[in-house]
Amino acid sequence: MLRNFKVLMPASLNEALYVINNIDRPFRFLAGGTDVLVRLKDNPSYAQALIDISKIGELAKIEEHKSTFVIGSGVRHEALLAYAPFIENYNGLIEAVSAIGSPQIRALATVGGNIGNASPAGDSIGPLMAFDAEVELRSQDTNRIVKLEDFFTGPGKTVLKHNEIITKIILPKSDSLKSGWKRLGQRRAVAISKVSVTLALGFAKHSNGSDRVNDVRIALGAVAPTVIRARKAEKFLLENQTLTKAVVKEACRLVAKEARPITDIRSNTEYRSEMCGVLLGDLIEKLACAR
Amino acid sequence: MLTKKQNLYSVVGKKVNRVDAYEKIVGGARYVDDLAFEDMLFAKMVCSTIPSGRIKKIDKSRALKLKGVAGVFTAEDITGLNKIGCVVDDQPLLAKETVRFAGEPFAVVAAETREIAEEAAGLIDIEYEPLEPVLTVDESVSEKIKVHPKGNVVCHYKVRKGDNIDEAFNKSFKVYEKTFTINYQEHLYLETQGCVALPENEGITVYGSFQCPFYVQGAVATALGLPLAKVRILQCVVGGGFGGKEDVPSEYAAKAALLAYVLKKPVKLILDRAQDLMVSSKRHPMKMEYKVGVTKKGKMNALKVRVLADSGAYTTLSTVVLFRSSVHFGGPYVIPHVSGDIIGLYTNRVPCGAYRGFGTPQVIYAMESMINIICNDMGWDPFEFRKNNALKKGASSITSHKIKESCGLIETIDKARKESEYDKRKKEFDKWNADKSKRTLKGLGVSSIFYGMNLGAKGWFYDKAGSHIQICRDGSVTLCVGNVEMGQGAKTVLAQIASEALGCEISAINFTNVDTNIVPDSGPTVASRTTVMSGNALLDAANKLRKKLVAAAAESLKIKPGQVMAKLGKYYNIKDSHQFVSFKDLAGKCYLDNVGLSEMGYYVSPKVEYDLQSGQGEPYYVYSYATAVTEVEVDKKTGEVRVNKMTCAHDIGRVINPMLASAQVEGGVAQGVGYAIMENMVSEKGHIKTLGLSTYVIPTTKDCPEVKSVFVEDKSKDGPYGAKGLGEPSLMPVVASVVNAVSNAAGHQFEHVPVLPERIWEVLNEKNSSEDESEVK
Ligand SMILES: Cc1cc2nc3c(=O)[nH]c(=O)nc-3n(C[C@H](O)[C@H](O)[C@H](O)COP(=O)(O)OP(=O)(O)OC[C@H]3O[C@@H](n4cnc5c(N)ncnc54)[C@H](O)[C@@H]3O)c2cc1C
Repeated sequence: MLRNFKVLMPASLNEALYVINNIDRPFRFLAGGTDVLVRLKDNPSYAQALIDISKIGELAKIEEHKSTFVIGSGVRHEALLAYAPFIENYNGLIEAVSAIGSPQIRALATVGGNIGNASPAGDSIGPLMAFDAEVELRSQDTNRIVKLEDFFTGPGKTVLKHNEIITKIILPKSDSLKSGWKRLGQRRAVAISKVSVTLALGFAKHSNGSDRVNDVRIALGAVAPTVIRARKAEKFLLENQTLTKAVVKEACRLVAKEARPITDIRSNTEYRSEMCGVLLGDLIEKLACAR
Repeated sequence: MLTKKQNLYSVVGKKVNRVDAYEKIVGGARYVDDLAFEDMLFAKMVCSTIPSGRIKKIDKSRALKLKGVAGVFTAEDITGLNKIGCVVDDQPLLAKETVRFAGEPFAVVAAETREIAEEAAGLIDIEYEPLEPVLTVDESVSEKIKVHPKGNVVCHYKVRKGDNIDEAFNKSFKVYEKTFTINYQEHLYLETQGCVALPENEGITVYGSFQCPFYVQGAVATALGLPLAKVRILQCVVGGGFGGKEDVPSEYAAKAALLAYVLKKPVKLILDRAQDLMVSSKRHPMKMEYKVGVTKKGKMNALKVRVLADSGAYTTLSTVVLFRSSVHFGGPYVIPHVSGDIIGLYTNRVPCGAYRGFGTPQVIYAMESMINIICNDMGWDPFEFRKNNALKKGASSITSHKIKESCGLIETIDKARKESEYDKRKKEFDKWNADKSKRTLKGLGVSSIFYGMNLGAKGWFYDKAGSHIQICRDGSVTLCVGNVEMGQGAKTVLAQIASEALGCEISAINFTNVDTNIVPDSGPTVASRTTVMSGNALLDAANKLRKKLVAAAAESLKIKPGQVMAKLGKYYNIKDSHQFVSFKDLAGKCYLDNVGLSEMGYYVSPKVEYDLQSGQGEPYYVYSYATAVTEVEVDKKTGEVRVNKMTCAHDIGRVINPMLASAQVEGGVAQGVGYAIMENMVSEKGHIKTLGLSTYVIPTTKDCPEVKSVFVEDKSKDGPYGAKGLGEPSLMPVVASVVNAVSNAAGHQFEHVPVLPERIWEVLNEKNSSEDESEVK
């Protein structure tokens, strides 16, 4: 029960930073609330205070810079999906975010919340990680930038300090990458991913006129304690450059081996591993054909 | 004759909009949790955390010290009897010495707020001596550990027909054998279980979400030690039941009533979703051993079945649910030699009970899978095979019930084939599947069912229904019946029946939710019986009223009563429809003439004769029938299934409302698809792990197929306007036909439900690797 529970509503980022620097009890941020309220209901000791950051306008902007896009942590999934440059060039991100929950959830839930919740099944994380996104973490006196890949330390666990907040997600511009995202869930909508794969590929023309792969990023969701990059499969594809049947098959085999899934109430280890390979194969086919 | 009469109906058979739609859409409908009373307390149940154990000590002191706690009740605080079992007396209202499943309530708290009640629940200390639990039917049947002192068998139904079964198999041309298993299914009504109890008039009034207010009345009276007349049950708008609110709400209502009665304050008890999932009844998991013999000519000549059903820790409704399994395990077919044993077994798991289809979807899945195996093996056409064995007028079921009337099974088979374009699709699918480059495999699955109407031989004593109709002096009408609206559209269909019979406009009718002070015990709202039972009870009352109205109209119009017709608010001269008197004026006239326009109606289900020893006789007075055809697509690499289309042909006698009938079919399909391929209740060591909506996953609209529903109207002489029931038949063929379709796509008969992608993938993988090997060779 929420006895002696506090809800604080800072009006600005500065106020929020002040609050978290001085608060003396375990707290959580309330951005969209779609994770935090569910958890609090299941487990009242999840937090003793909520800091409502949902009204802080400065966190809710998307900005275009010279070589990056900066997504405020309070940007709602719905807003991200409507942002034209993403629709144009970040297909993997759009595919993933449009699969999150339902329209109702996407109208409330934020990108910062998806990252802050640190679920290995968080669907926006894979594409962001594949695009080498970074997060800006601020406290009252500090400001640091951490690669998203280094941000998570386990299920629900991150490097965020108690007096820090995620302010931004910095997404490098990557016009040359083609990307895609696929997942398997227990049903077609409002489902938590059993496994998800993001693939981003860059191509260059070979001197002989054929297409060569010159950039590969693969991220796997729900198959390890955190979302991970599949570095071995990435390296293999990059070295081989051409996507022959045999190369693709081997990459799929490698990616299945890189996954470290568990058996739980949603699925089992073997299936999850193998599906990483299947989904990667599907994405390679899709991206190679789409060109 | 009938067609001529049919044309005369002005409301029955029409697509009338739901009479309760508007209030639900605008949020005006009042569910039990919307009710609030002054000084109301909130209750919370405290449940066992182990599947089996002896209670050594329960300590309430910490909870009682918490500010705002009004009371903590355990078994010793019960003023009446500590018993809740509705059929068999094996279940306490609150566990006293023993806990038999994880989730069994042993205490209940009342406090000033929901939050305090929840906190107090966590402060009640219980000490157990844990015992080794019985967790599977195989362990249970071995009787090594006894869940109850009398042993582990809850019930054992036998069906014996024809010769010695082994000899019969010797005469078969071919014999097929397979064992199937099937998991729980959770009802997952949108509205969780709940009620509010109010001390009133030295007795108690209970509001709630019930399928049988009369069961609740009995349970409350027993627990409080009150006469029935001091217990009044008022039905609220119900957010879904599906069988889960048949007997189960009695458990909660009796607890809330006890608190309210002793503490002399209103008490609200609403289960949260996790607790509801943990403690409320489920569909029985079963292990089903099937053996079927066929003749060269494609007739089934012998059937041997043994079913072990997991009844859980207490009997609840197992004995009646499994009676239904024992009648339906052979499907709607003629089989001369049958031996069936349906055995319900206690385990230290959650009690299982009523769920849409009542013990039949499981056995239908097994039986229809057998037929699929046979047809595939012999190259027999699945429709012709079913027709060749089908029940029809003059034929006898596996319980030797000779079918006398209203049997449209063969028409449903023909219609399902035609409307699904099966033959065309089959060719297309075969071609598709032959193309190895395709990512998916497509499959078609068929299943046929029959379903006994009403409560049948095992429940005939409960099989009655009452009604009350009152016509006010301005021509408006109040109706009250004993069966409930729980989302199925009962109010609309019953209003249509009353409007047709009374000759009033449907808009004149006002429904009063069930009130045990107004209508007599009408049994439960289950067994697809409401249209027939409450419909007939309404006809009984309406016909009495109509006689009075006709006499009054004849007097006004100066014609003979035989010349009066009534329709849509007008009583008119059959020879001259311009000559009429309005329903409203007639009501006014009767009022001034002191003609009472208030009547009770009553109806009793036709009596049936059945021998429980041999499982032979008439288990039910009549049956509904259905055939379903499903199209699926299976992803070869992921094992994911897409159910693309279902065509369902139902014989439900007269269709009172075609729109609601189609909606009922769509709902049944959605629930059946979930059961077949998605809903997976995971339990470990007697603890259910899927205690939320993110882990117990049911279909969304995106997972549901296109549904085409068609109807066969082979009218039943005992139904109102010839109607039979549809509530359960709508779900019953779904699981089997979906699983058959997936099995046909994958080339493997799936032996466990739900059929999950993980399993399909495994099967397809095994096939692939064996094909690869043969290529190498
Ligand atoms: C019905 C339903 C369906 C869902 N489906 C999906 C799905 O398909 N895929 C998916 O990935 N998720 C899904 N979710 C989970 C959830 O919606 C997402 O994770 C969402 O992005 C969380 O965002 P939020 O703003 O609601 O976070 P909140 O609940 O407000 O916060 C979540 C966590 O993040 C922390 N946090 C929030 N903002 C910050 C910040 N600025 N800095 C530091 N920490 C922060 C909070 O402290 C908290 O611990 C679903 C949830 C529901 C209820």
